[in-house]
Amino acid sequence: MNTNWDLLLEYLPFLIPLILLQVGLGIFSAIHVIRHPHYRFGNQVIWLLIVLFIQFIGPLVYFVFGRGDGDGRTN
Amino acid sequence: MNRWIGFFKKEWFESVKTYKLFLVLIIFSILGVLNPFTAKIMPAVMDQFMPEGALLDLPEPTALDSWLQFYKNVPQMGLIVFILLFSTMMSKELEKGTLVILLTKGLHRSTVITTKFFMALCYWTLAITLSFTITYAYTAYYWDQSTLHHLFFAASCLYVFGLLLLAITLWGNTYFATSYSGILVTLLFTIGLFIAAIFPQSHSWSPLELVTTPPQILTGEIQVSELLIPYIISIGLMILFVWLTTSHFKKKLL
Repeated sequence: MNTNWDLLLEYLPFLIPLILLQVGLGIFSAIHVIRHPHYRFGNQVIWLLIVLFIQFIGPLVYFVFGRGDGDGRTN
Repeated sequence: MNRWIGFFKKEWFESVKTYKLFLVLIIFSILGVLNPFTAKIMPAVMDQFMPEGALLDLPEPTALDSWLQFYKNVPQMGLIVFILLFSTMMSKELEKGTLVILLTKGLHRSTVITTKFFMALCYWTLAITLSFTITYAYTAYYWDQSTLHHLFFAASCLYVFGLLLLAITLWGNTYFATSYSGILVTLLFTIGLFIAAIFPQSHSWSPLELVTTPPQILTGEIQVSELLIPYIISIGLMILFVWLTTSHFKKKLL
């Protein structure tokens, strides 16, 4: 157990930014999926799963191909 | 020139509003951190998977391992992500017909293409710089980099190859005007380069050399001068494809 903690501490400078970035991206995309419920194809459940479980390719595909236009925003 | 800057501003706001800036920043930061991390954790991972009692003498990771990861991750993951992001630059506008109004108001057609390419170029510069800086910082902190040669030149090779693929994507996207055509043309081009790489003669000129040789440049096995021809060919092809796009777009019916 002790050695595992040492290992974790050693890699902490890498893990903190990695986890922050990946989780942040996932959560941001998930919020976007929920708040803009119009998609070019697919439905909310599918996009939520894609965005949360496929690391950084998921959010990318959602924002480039899945995000609907004129999705309720007034601009 | 005024029109050029105006259209450039429009492109910039569009890319921010469609979350391109956000995605590029996050994804290339992740890639930057991932490189030294993979290099550092590899021996520990191998240790975990080895059966009890088996002794595996793994050398300590060095700065070279970290940069090897960089030249593996950024051309594969990074470039694919980037081409995907910018593959619909033209087709989106052509599908929606949003360009017609601007063009009838007197915007030059060449302005549209050069601005779009320049925008993508700025983003690629940002992406590579970000990834390179983060990997550089981590590597400098953990290892000694003094044994490596031409760090910046090796990165610039990757940068030029990325620009070439961008120009080809833009051309494919404008010529066939569907959202997936840009990716398809770029894919075919890359496959073509890989097929050409089977023949050893191609190693003296193929642009693909720019992404396969950086590790050897770092170790000093390959001299910078040997990459001069691929470098020039890549830049030449890039300019040619941007010119082809402009001349095709000038005649295109909207």
